[in-house]
Amino acid sequence: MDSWIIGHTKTELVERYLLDRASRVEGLIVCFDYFDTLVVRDVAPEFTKQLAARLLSMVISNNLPAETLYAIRQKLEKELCEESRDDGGELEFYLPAFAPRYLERLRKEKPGLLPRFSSERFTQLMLDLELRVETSVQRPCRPVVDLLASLKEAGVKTILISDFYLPSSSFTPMLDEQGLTGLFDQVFVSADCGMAKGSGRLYQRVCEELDCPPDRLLMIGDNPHSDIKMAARQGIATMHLQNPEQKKQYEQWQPGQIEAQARVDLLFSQAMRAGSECFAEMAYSLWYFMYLLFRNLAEQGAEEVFFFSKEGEFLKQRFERFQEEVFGTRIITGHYLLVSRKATYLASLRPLDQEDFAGIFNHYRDISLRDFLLSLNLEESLAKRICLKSNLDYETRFSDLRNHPEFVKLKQSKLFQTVYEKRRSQQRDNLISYLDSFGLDYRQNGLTIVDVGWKGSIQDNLYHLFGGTVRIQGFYLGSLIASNKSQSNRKKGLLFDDTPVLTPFFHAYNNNRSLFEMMLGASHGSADGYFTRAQYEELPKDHGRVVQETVAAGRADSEILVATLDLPEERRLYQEKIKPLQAVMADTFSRQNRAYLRAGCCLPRPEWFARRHARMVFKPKAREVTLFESLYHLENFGIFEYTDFQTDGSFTVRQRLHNLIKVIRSGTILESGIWPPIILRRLGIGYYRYFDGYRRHLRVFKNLEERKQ
Amino acid sequence: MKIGFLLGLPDITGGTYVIYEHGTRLLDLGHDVSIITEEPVSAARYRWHPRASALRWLSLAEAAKERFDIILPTWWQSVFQLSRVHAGHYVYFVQSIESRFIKAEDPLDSDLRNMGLVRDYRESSYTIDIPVITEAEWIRNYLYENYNRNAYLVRNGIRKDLYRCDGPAVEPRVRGRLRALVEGPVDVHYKNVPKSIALCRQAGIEEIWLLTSSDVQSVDGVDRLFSRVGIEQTPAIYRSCDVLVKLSSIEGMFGPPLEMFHCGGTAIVYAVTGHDEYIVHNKNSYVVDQDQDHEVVACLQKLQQDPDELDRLKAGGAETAASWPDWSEAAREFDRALRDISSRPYTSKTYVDKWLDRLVADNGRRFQQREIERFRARERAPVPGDDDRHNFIQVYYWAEEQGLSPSGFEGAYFKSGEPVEITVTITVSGFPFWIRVDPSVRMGVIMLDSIKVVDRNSGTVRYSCESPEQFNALYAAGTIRRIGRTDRAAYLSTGDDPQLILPALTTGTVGERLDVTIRLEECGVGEYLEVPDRDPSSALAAPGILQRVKRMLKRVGGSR
Repeated sequence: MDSWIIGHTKTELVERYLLDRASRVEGLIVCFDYFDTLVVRDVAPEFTKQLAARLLSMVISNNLPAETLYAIRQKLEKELCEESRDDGGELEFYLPAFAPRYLERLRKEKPGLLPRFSSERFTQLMLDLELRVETSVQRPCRPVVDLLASLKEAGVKTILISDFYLPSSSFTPMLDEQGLTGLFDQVFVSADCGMAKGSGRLYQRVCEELDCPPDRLLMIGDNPHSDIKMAARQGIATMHLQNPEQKKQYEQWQPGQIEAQARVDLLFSQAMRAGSECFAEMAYSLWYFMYLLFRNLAEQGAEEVFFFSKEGEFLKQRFERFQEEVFGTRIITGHYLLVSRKATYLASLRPLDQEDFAGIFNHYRDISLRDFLLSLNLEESLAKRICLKSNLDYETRFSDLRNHPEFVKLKQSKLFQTVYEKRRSQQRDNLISYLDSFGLDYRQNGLTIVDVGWKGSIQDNLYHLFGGTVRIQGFYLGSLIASNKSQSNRKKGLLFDDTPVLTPFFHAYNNNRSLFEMMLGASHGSADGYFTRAQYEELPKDHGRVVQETVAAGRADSEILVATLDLPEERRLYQEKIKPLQAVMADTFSRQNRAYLRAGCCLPRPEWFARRHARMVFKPKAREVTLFESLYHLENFGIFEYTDFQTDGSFTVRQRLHNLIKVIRSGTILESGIWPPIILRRLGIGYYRYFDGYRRHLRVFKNLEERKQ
Repeated sequence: MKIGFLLGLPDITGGTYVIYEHGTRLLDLGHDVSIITEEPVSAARYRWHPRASALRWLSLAEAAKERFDIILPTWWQSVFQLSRVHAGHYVYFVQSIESRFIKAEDPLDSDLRNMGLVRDYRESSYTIDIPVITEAEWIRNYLYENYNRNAYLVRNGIRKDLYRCDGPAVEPRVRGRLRALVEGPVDVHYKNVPKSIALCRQAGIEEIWLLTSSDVQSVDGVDRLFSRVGIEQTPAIYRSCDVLVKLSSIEGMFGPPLEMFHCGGTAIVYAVTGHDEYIVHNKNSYVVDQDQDHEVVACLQKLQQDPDELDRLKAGGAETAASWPDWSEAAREFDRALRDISSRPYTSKTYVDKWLDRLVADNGRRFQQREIERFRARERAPVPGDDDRHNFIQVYYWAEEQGLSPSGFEGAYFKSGEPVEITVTITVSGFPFWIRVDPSVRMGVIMLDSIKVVDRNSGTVRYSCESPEQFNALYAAGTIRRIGRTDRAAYLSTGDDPQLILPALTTGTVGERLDVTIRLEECGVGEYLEVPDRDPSSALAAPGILQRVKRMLKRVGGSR
């Protein structure tokens, strides 16, 4: 049996033949070729290099276009092959030797390219990119893999022999991905030893290493020259594998088609499994965000980036998956920073005599001393004690507290002055120690941060913490009425931003911002302060915090405890409702990474992503509204301020009609910032969401459609 | 024994009835009997037979997990399912020579152009070397003469408890007033039901009744219609009529005339294969040569005018009926045949698998070869004929959430070789809404001028693709590749499955009717290249295309 035609010859026949042979030839070793034998590719083989060029171009932020990168590569490969042949070696090139020369060429073309990449790091990057591209386009050739598995099971020795420019260290993950790990006794790759099947030398090497005569080997492969002719010349028995179906597929391969919009859209739309969970399209918005984030970070040459809690927990995981699954490696390192507006506020403040508390008073004018003191992250018992001691009104809401005599009295309180300064300096020192614990030179390089949005006040707090001496660049899903923007305190909303003008599809992404927060829930509570162990133990007992993380501080023996608020109800909701949704999103997200590679590094247009998002917010399913409502308590929304409305949930027809008329007449009720379907349901007119959503959807996409026509 | 019948469809037909009768009676004889269908079927579909639910019903996937003593394919396609079920013996139950049911081949009609090959494929099911049981002498002879098979002959029985002269009638017969009964599905061409009705009318028959398995509300020219009635009700209909007019041009084993004889009537039939099983001209029936329609009319008129002659034939029918076996007898015969077969060595499964693989491969090659021949013929000279059915365009459509269903398409015939504009109407079932155009079913070049999707009511354009550049957004898949850099978007189709997927529609309303209008011209490669400004090298500029065309032309034996 010297040939095996996939789809014609039955695998059992081949298996029977080989087992029979194994029983006659003592110590038979069956050797398998890899490409187009054990695995086949979805694209023409040469296209994998073009894909790698596209990815590299993205890493270098398009400083050289993919076409140029590919052209330089082709030329260099040819030169290296010829050099190798002239030196009496193989007419082949190997990536470990190729990559450093490639970097040199690229830097010649574009001086200063990838400044932080050493030759070794660049070589590793190339290996990772190639491997990623390869694994994303490979799939196992079932009959051959089945045969391999049954030979292994029957105790026949099997080895892999491949001519390939990646070394066996890259082959192993490839075998893992295809589920072939453990099926080979040994792996021989030409890139490891500089000898190839094509010249026959690799076969000699295999025989030497295994210390066995060639007549104990049997080579199975598709290449008539290197797998069959050259093996036979060494005295090795051969079986020529033919795969007519696959050959036809390669012939039908249409590189021009790879970027066709309909194909790209189709691949991405298939990323979401049918009958998906509530708000499943959020995975599209997040993927698009990660794509934009990576591009922005690459453009800035950012190497390290901080993800702010709590939304940053899921975002950072996705950012890492994006890089691993698209580039095969993490090019930009993500760090998770436990912060919250409340936890960072006190640290950002100046000494009491210089501080105007604008951060509070610009947003909330009419508040009580209690509200004020708690927003400085003091414990309730401590806050109460301060007021009691100076005979201050703790509970009453004063209009314009900033200029109220009670507030002046508070500032004069000795206890308050002591506590304020003590806590402020503690938090300052500790937060800085916490940031330092990441071991990055942010004072020099600046900070790059990622958060869900909207005003960027945590970023501002950090900015003020350092008195404006550390440059901060913030990237947000959405940025809205962002204050304190300056050259050294930049903020950018990647999905939506209201400055300098509204970004395209702004209203679709902005319609239900709480949805982002809900879907990006974290496994822990909000950050609630930074303490040394001694300070933590000194806290009043009613602090309600738990230690989320302990990091080593600058001094050898000290450590910083990062505390979060522990809310059991919130934790339960996360476990029961959010975590399962995040699992589905994570799956859809990863499938988009694969779609992106299969689409030749093309993605659908921004409108496509916006429409997916618009479906969730403008055309929600009833169960989505229910889920959202169950996770967000309406108290938080202040809807009860609409005293005109019945809100106890049971309505007469008349009341419903009354509410409907109110909603239709008053344009502002549904513009309160709360998701309209929730308001409408609470008013007993949930069905009106269809009309309202339709109207809003039309408003976002109408101009676009008119333009198209 | 554990016996399985591979069935096509469980619905009411004569052939299926025979299988249920044998099946249920084999059950009575102590066998374990299963009916195996490709997909699971609901009981509602076989409830028309009083005992079919007593049988075990399995889908092919379920049956694949079991082992049977005997598996019986019962129609040509089920032979090709044999490799999917395991049994000691495989026995082909041949109820008719089904290759005869095929319409005539018409090279100019995209539906009928391969009918000869389809016929051969059906016929090839008889080449498998497994035991055969058949129900008619003529089939037995045919299989012997053509394939050297010695089939067991098991004549169909008849329900003597049902089909008898005494019993209620829908309306009693009236001597001197001839009532004719036409029987058969109205839409199966070789059953000739509409023609039979027309001939009865032509003969001036007073009353014409129709008994049909088709689900119809009314049929022209019929005085009383019985559609899809259960078997219990049919004897009363037979007993009400004098003569059965059954003019099928192909039959396996003629059931209805025999039933009519049992119910005291006579019949007029064509002299088709199988009629001589029990029908004797001028003794129990009139047998007329096929398509001698004036004779059918004359026979009908004679029976109408001469009640004595009618009585004579009815008496002949009763005599034939008396000598015919009932179902228990037939089933015992079937059981004897199965027992005899099971005492022989098992059928080799490897043989069955190999036979099947070879046949499927050969068949694929024949179709491929035919496609190449057709391509070659067209490359040599334009296709003659003015038929509009040369080619066929299909428009598939689906809402993303629901996914593509193979039956979710609209289609239209068109003529190759000239510009055509085709519009099909489809309904939006959800968003995003995908549309796929399969523009041709042959090898050649398709030039697309435009694809427009318009809301039928409002006239709003939902999608439009009118320039060659705009066609870049379409995803060409299957057997189609973009070629050329000309003024028209051109595609080379190398098979019968070219696909062009449009970017999904995201606007509109569910339920909206869309007109998809495609302007295209489909022609041969030679014709395409003949146009002067299409320099072959640039026209076929896409990578790999030139080689492909060269290969195609090589097969053709040089371009024009």
